[in-house]
Amino acid sequence: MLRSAMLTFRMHRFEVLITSALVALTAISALVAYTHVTAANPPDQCWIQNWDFEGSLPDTPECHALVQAFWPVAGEAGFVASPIGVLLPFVVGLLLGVPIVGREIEMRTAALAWSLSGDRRRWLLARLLPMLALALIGLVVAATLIAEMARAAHPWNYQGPGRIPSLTELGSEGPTLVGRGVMALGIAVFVGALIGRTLPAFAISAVLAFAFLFVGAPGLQRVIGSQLAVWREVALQDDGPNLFIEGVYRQEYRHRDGRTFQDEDVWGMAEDECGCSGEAVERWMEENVTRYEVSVPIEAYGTFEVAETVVTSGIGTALLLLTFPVVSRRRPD
Amino acid sequence: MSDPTPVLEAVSVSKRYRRSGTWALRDVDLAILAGTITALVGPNGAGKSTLLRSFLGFEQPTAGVVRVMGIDPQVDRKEAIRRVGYVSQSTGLYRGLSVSDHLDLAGSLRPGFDRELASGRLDELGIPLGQRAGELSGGQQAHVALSIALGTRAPVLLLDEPLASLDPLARHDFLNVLVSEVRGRGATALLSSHIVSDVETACDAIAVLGSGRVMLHRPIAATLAEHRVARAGSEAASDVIASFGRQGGERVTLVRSTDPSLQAPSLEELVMGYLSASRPGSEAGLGRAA
Repeated sequence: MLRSAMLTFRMHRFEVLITSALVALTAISALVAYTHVTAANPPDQCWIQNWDFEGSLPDTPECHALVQAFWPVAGEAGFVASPIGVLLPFVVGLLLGVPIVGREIEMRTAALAWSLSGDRRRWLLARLLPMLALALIGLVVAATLIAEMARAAHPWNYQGPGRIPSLTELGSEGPTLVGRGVMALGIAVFVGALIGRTLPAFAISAVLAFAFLFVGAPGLQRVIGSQLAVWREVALQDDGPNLFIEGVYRQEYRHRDGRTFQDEDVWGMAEDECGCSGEAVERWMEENVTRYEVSVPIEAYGTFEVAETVVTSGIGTALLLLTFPVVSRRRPD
Repeated sequence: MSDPTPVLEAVSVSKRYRRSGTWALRDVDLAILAGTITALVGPNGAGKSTLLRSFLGFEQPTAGVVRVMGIDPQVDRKEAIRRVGYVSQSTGLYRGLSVSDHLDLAGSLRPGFDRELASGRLDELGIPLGQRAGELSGGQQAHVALSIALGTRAPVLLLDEPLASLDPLARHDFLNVLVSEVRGRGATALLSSHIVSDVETACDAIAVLGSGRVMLHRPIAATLAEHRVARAGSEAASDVIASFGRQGGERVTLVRSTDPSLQAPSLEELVMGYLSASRPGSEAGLGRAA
């Protein structure tokens, strides 16, 4: 088993070395950034002062200086989380995934392997498992270190009354990073087996992976967010600070007949229905429309993580399983 | 004496590639007997590789059936492949793996792989086990692929143009190893090639494939004895296979005859005659002669 795994790594030594180096660099960067932000992190009291928008707490010069000095150091950690943490699972998944079947077919080594073993499922398993294990170990290490680093770099997320729930790190740390890596690996292995050419398979897999990153992931987060959203009724004129959760937060207006409207549509609707303008519209809205803030509490972050990880790793696993019948039926070149 | 049971069978096999729409094989019938070394010859595109790959289940016939020792690889690929050792023209070696790694790989994929046999052969040929395959010469790579195929101890060897990229000395060495191993353990080999002169001494039988059809399949000695070449125009029409130009420009006709006054053909001339007969629009009388 170990000998077979070592053979697999030697077959793909270039990709193994590159991805190992990337993971190691990311891990070291996260550790260095963690050390820096931990050392520069102001005391909790300073953060409480910093986020006290109502000004009930005195903003001491010492705290102010410490908080201002912290921002550049936190920026260092921010760079490790994004773009490095965001891109790492895709790079690792694509680099390790495409050659597993795609290059074997392209270089015609599959013909030798498949002429030695009629059981192609066993062959694929022997090639796939070591690469999957390598990807998982590397990504778990990187994801854990980035998560610790991000936690240290965003202390206000976890303490004090001024905390700001944020989903900005979703996908760049913790289990979501690993889930995205499994998905990218699944896409790459499957497309590689279908196409049997390394470069086109890499290009198509990259397009699919980045389509997920820029379209699928925000869409998925909106779906998950809508399930976890908390609707809070607020006054129509209320301009106070809102809970802000990136990509999830929105305002909605509900007509007394049940219809809902977005910010940009509600005024036009009110003008049409009341047949009036100016303050008369505001009065009509007071009587007929209720305004809601739709937000996702920070406590739901864990649910977000689990849901996205289940979906992405599920897609990856399904594609890996679908590769087996593809390989079983495929011509070797 | 060969066992009359066919170990490789193709029954009315046709293969049409969907993308190009071309027929690689048309109604091919072939039975390779146990213990023989058969040369499968034909020009590029004749369907040699398609036929060999069909025996491994790499190609699915559009019609007909192939069998390896009675097993249809489309029905039970695992069992069919267990009986076959295969060498492809490209050798299929991993450029970045050492020769020793290849033997390990073969051992992990094929139960009962005889690593000692394979490494012993490579030692005899002076091929270093620690060398990467990508650093070996074409001849050495072919020998590694052959040693792996021999190490499977499969009763059937399929060799798809393994000589194509080799120099004459390397071809000679390769065939020597092949013949001694196959004869030594009573295996059966089907060797495709378009270098006819090389296979003459190594093979017992020849199968000529032209335009996807089997034009001839006979023991080499017998078929040479049954044919003659005559100057074009002097032959009896009923015995004509086909006319073709010899090297040097002389036009001759291959005829089915044992007439001692006519010249015996070389194996190359025999193949040329049958391949000429397979060309579309040929005036040959293959049907009449057969």
